[in-house]
Amino acid sequence: MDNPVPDNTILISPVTRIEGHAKITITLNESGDVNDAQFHVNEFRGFEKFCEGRLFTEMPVITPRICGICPVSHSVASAKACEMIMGIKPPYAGDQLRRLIHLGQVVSSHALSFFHLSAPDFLLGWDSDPAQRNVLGLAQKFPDIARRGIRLRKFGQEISERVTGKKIHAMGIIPGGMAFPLTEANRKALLEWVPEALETTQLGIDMIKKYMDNNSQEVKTFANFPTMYLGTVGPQGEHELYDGKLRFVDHKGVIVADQLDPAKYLDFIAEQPIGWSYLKYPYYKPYGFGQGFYRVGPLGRLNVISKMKTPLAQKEFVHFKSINGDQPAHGTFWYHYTRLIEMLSAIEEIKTLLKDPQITSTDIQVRASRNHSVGIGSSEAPRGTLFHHYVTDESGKLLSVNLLIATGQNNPAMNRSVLEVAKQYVKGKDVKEGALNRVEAAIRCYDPCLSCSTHAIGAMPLMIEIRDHQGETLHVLQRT
Amino acid sequence: MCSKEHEQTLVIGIGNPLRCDDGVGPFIASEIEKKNLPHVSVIVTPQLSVELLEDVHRFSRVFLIDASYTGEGLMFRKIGTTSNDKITSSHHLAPELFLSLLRSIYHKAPNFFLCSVRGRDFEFKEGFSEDMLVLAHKATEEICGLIRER
Repeated sequence: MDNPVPDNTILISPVTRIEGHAKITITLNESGDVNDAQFHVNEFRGFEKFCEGRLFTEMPVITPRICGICPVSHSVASAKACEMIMGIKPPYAGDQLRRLIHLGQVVSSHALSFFHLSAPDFLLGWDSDPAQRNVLGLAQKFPDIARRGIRLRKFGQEISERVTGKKIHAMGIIPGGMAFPLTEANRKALLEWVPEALETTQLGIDMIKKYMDNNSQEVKTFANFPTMYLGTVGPQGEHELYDGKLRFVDHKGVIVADQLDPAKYLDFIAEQPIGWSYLKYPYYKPYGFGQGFYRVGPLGRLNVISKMKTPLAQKEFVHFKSINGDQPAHGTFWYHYTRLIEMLSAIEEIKTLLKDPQITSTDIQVRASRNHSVGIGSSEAPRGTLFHHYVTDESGKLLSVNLLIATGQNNPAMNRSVLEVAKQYVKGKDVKEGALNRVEAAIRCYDPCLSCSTHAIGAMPLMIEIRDHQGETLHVLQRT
Repeated sequence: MCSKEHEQTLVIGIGNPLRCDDGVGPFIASEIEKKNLPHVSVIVTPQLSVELLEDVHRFSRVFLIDASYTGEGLMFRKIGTTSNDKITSSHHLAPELFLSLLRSIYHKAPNFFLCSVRGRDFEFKEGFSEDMLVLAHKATEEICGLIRER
């Protein structure tokens, strides 16, 4: 921790165990209580701009390079946008193979988020020595859990590798379907992983439930504030990660819009640029900026759906729904629990897909050329709903690209979460490390990927700055 | 030929072949693989990520090969564990943290070496900058020599 600024602001840097590069400013009122908090994202890469002029068919290969954690979601959304331009749908086996890889990526991403980025807080304690409260501290004290988490992540990546030949930035998802079929040997090999993957996820659920029981007050109050929620649902309102329609619910859980076509996202989502960050503020258009802010991701999805698709996940979902008497659970901490329920569901669904005799079919792609000028595709990335929107000229070159990313949609909520936690734990400029980690942890709940949302390069050091009511910096907190 | 037949060596080439000299690690790793040295396995990866621990823990000797922004020519050093145990990125790990995790989780302590190759051009293109290919072949021979030594 250093203090290179006048005696008027607090700054924390970096915010650890998240992706990207950001800074938090906490502003105090005249009494020294927290008045406001702003989550700044300082990086910019401009992926949308430099894709202009490329052929639209290249996008499922280019856009996964935005992110090493959720490349499949980008590839899926991109391929769907291309297929809208072509006016085609992939054959059944190609679609199911994509679904399989996508679910594998969800497992891989959620496993990393829970077992390695967040578990140090649960298992070692938020107020434990920060020098130990990290992945290495976790590995030293709980090596079995750390290894299980690694193997669960590996399982997710192995699905991609066994279908496409690559763990990261898989190239097999193409407009019209898949480039490679799944071999029978690879299908069997993946099925063998399933029991262990289920067991590890159940272990994670037991872990988080125990933590929730032992820390019920903090869990309930941690960044708990009402918002709307957005997620993809199936025809019966069931949980859906790969393909479906969109549903918005309000803070009471009332469905305000349902079975919305993702291709019409601009009818119901708008974005407001803000002065302090490269991340914009998306909002539900009919309610306007201010009233229409919503959350996406695991908590958003489980707050909008009517049911899970698989039995074990459905059992946990019933428990989750009991938290707030069938209304949405607004506590930000619940992101962790819902992430685990989604992982359970994904593994159950992977098992079902691997038992489908059609999964090894070689009838996995159809071909076409450009038939329409505009294409819009969406998928549920691990962190939330993702949209790709392309406009092409007659030769198929991209005239414009819009990528609406999950972390960007959670931006207003991340700001609010930081504010809520800061109000509870920051009093004046004398801030203890444990409190600062709670501020960071509020962001970590969303598992943000700032590389995705600003399409930026780089690791994620984050700084927290505390300012007084006149804007003077009181304190800067920055980890080296 | 390895002097100890049971010795298992892993070569990990790290980098992105679409970023010019950053692809030197994968290139050298593939050159070593072509030599079919006994008891030598090769992995190519964009980054040193946590799930690689599951692959690496079975080996007693590991060579990491990566392009470097600093230094000169070829640089070899043995990797030790670290007390700087923070993880700031979920995408990749530093070699020292990787080794520390290997020791903590798997109770394994392989001999871990890093071969850094000074790159000059990391722009978005394939191929290498001038002299890089010479350095890459030199690195291939030196690493193969080290593998054969023991």
